[in-house]
Amino acid sequence: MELKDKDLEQLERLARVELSGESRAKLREQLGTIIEFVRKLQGIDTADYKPKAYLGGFEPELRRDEAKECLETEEVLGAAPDRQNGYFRVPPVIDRDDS
Amino acid sequence: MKDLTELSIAELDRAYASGRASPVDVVEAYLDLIDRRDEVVRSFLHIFGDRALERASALAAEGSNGRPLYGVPVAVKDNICMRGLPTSCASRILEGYRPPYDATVVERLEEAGAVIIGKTNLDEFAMGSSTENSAFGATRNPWNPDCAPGGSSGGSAAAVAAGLVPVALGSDTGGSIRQPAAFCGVAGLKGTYGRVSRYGLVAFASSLDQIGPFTRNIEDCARVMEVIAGHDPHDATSITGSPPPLIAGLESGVRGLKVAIPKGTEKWEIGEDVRKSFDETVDILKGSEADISEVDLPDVDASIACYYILANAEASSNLARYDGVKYGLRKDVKNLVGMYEQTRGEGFGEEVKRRILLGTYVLSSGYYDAYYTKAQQVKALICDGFEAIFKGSDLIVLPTTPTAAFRIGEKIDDPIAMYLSDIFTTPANIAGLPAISIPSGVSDDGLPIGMQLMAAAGNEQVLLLAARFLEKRYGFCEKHQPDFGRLEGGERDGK
Repeated sequence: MELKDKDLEQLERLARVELSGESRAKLREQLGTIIEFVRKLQGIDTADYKPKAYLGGFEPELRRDEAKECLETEEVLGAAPDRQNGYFRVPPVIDRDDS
Repeated sequence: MKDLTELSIAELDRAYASGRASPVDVVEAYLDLIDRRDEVVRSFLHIFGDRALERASALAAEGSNGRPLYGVPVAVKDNICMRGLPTSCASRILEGYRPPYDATVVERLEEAGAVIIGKTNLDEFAMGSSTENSAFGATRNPWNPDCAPGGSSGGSAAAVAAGLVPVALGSDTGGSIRQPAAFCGVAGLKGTYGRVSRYGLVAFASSLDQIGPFTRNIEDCARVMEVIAGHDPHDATSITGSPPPLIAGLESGVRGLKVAIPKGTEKWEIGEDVRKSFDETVDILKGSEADISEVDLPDVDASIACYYILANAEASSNLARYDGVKYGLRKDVKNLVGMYEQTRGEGFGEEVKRRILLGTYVLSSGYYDAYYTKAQQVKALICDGFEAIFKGSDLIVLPTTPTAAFRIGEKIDDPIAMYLSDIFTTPANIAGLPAISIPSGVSDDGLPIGMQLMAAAGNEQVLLLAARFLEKRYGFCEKHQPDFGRLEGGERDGK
């Protein structure tokens, strides 16, 4: 299956991944081949089967909603590339018009 | 007398009890081997020599106190968190990251007296079948450094095969323990989904991931699994109740065991040497006291396509957390979305990007039902198929991989060919079944071949006792070992 360039651009946007120029052509071709490969499932008759997300046999256990000891804020924030006053600091979310 | 680094866990235990050696002697001996051999093998990303020696001397002072892994050196795959120590997942995006907590398996190993010696190489975020997708360079197969050790837990498999540790942990999402175990001639076990806590395992595909051990023999495998298995309140998918005892009954043999052999094996596209080893395994079992029957396996071709849809859909969601905000790499861009896109574009390697994009594709509007929902239906069909088989059988026997180890570089630009090396291993992940790979023989080129046993969910016990039975019949370790001299000769890059 051929993946069009604009399809790949849309996937990059959705996945928030910017591909470099030289890897784009190779990836586009490889993704097309992989999609073709996984499409073979469409030939299997699954009319009698409901989609299965979880494996059977287990009772998922939810803990009681009570306060427990947890990691210190400083320890958790310690790995962040940028932080300020106990928060993660990020670049501006809304572009300002500087003109 | 065997060298300290050749001892099984039980033998180590006796060496400690008799005063022949202390944990410090053993850790020093292994660190020395790592020093001599890992320049060629490159199985470790981080070696915690000082920490390990400190821990060993603390253990020596405390004495064993009956701890099951007292003084046993262990390597841990570098996608398993250790507090304050690097956990890179072999990715640039997590280079230098030090998690603030220990994975449950790490806590359990250390409580049991194990000494964690270092962390091993992997395909970036456990995505791959050769360990070539590591941002920090490929690991080499100790049996032939021109060959891949398999993957994604190739560093752990190679470290055990090269004799650098008696035990290593890996993780298995589609065969990432069993396939490298087969390629490196060691035992590798993936338990039932939920058997071992995933808390502190960096998530790839949460509905499929399981941590498990690599060891040189089945008894060691049973010992380590007994330590790491069991319910953990930190993992909501962890199985409640006590896990089965594995060491007791290990020697009970296969009398009366109902063993299923797949039908239609003549149509499998597998190497002649793998076929020969499989046929020999069937003959061993036919000549034993087990009851043999033939069964129709669920469609293995469908399993692999189903796997690549489900695993990558989950991966595209799980890996959204690497955004340059909370940890790891950040590219300096003046707006948030641009920062996300460039950080992820530069921080992730090619295979990871390929999988994130594929996962995004199968989950995107307009394609969701045709791919993701369809794969979940196929998953239901595969689970049903196995359930039917295990109503009448205790075990299924099949090869772990279609061929022995391939050469480094051979499949790296052909994703489908690479994916197909997992054709026999993905079904156990999709259906959540326990499965083990054990070395059964060598190929015409002298590379190990692995056979795989699968059992019903929850039945690790039968898996291990059958593996132990076959291990004795194969006599693999007595007949074959890598050329350790070649690893110590400083021979690099196959030159």
